[in-house]
Amino acid sequence: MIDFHALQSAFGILSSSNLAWLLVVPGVVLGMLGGALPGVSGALILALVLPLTLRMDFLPALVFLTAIHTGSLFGVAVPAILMNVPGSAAAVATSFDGYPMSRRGEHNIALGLALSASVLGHLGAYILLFLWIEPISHAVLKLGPPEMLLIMLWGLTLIAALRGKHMSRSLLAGAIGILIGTIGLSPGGAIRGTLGFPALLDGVPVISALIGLFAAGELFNLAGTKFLVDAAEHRHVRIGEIVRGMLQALRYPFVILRGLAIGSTIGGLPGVGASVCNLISYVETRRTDKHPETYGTGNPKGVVAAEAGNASSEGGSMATLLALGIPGGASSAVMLAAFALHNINGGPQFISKSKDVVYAIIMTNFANGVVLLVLGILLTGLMANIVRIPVRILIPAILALATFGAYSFDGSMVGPITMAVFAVLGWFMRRHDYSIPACAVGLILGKNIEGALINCFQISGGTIGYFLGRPIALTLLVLLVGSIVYRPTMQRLRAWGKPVEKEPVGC
Amino acid sequence: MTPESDRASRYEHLGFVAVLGAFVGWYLWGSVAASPTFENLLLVGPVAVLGLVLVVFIIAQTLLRGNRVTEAESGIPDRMPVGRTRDAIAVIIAFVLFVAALPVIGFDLSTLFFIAAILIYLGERRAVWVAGLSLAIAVGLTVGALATLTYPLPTAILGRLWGLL
Repeated sequence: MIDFHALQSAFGILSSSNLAWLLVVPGVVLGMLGGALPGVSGALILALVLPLTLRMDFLPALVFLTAIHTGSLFGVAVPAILMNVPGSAAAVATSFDGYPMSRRGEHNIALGLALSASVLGHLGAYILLFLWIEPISHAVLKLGPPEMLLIMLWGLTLIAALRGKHMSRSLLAGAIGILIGTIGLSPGGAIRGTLGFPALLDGVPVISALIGLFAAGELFNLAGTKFLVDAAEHRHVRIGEIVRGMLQALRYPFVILRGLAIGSTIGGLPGVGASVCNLISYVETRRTDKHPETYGTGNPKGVVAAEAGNASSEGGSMATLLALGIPGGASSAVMLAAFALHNINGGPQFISKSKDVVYAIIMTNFANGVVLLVLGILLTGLMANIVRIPVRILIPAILALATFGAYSFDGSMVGPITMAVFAVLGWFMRRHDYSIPACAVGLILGKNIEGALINCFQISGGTIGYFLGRPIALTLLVLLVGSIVYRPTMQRLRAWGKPVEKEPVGC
Repeated sequence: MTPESDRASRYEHLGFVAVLGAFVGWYLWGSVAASPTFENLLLVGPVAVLGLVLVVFIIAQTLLRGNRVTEAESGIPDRMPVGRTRDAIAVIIAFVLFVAALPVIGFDLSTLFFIAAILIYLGERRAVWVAGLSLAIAVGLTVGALATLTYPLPTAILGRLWGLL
């Protein structure tokens, strides 16, 4: 499983490349700070620094980029927890429970939980990658459109799980999200819902829409309040509490392991990325919990599950990148560009011929995890001070910052306008108890599901036998159905054997 | 909640659902018009039909039962406390005007006016704070964007000054 000769060679490479080690700290800091800015995704930061890596050797360049990626995957959780602003789609599920915790004055604990889960998820995924790089590279090759479709559908089941007070309104929110997600040029070449705007041919800008739905809608609701945390005695930043939150995350080993398993496997699928892992890890933790109704109201396990899922997806996407030369998401696509800049092609040839470099990359990522742990405590403490800023300053400052972020995606007004439209939609949805997370899930997955559905239909000719003939698809189907029906079935079975309690007279 | 405000909330909700229903109907109609093939409607068709059924269901439910479900009925805790609706609407209007003004008077001036307007509306009375904060945030964001973005950024003043450096 481990090629010890290549491992020894990797140590040799790393001991002779001081630059690679020196770039870990600035990379993680840059990623964390950039990720914490709403609208500035990890991929954007990577794209901005990509030209800087031109003069570096391949290994330091890739180490620098992976350090930024690691930092940004945690950085996006900070505004999600403190301001309900998912810094990117990868932190959408983090905000579900992180933000309610902040409003209760438990922001330090929530940040600690997220940091711990991120570090453990990251390290766990790279340990798995270290052990399983070869088998993973073979397994990923066997996944086709049916498997991708089933994974997307798994993510979509989150819509039902994220119901608010009204199941019907949440389902409608999810349906609206899916429909908006399919706006633009369809896989078959038809133009839908663009209102004649060429900018919408590629679809609605998802990040701008998410910022509008989550952040702006919430900020409008805060107008008239004094601080994010109402009680003055809770409005403090304590490193000790952040550390306490980090230790609290260790109480949920199964939640972290589940996130790790989901992130490192599903994260390895091309085109899936951290956002889907974040959502699926959250929904599975919620679904298997004895008290699913507490999720969305500030359950610490929700934060741990979401962060473990997105952090461990990095290891999975790196496996695909190294083993197949296929990007798992936007960030790994930029890293693939770094490969090209250095005339290196990722894939089975790279894995077999440059295994020492692969091991060196994995080992520097262990260092990334440790650096994230240390810097995370210090920088998170600084960033948590946001709860001390009056809301009257936060509202215009964050709205302006997010608007600049929305503009930065493609340098057009499409981003800010999208954000404004979705901000108003989000405010109305909040007012009438429509589930915003359900709408966001539909928005994120809509286009991908349609693509996978059409691929499956074209390949199979519409016959279900195609699915049944693929063992991995069949296994995924069984797992998907099982994860949906297991809990309600068990609850009914338990209730069946219990005697019915009579209600006291007069109540 | 008073009966009057409950009625107002119900009508507002009915209006909102009607807008959502109109969007779903319009999108389905547009999709069929764009290409009435099976593949084009494979996902959009069923989801839109489900959406329309839900809209009808929610309208009927709201008319019969009202708009609100209590915490006890749903088993889900109420939302966190929020500010006043009047303040929220004022901020929404200011934000929409801000976005509309960006390409017209530039990111720098729009941001300056937007921040100052919200600060004053939400109760900041110290003129030095209003001027200082608005200026600092507007200049900071605009210069940051000018330094990092590879796209042109519409500005009134700072873009020219940046070009002179």
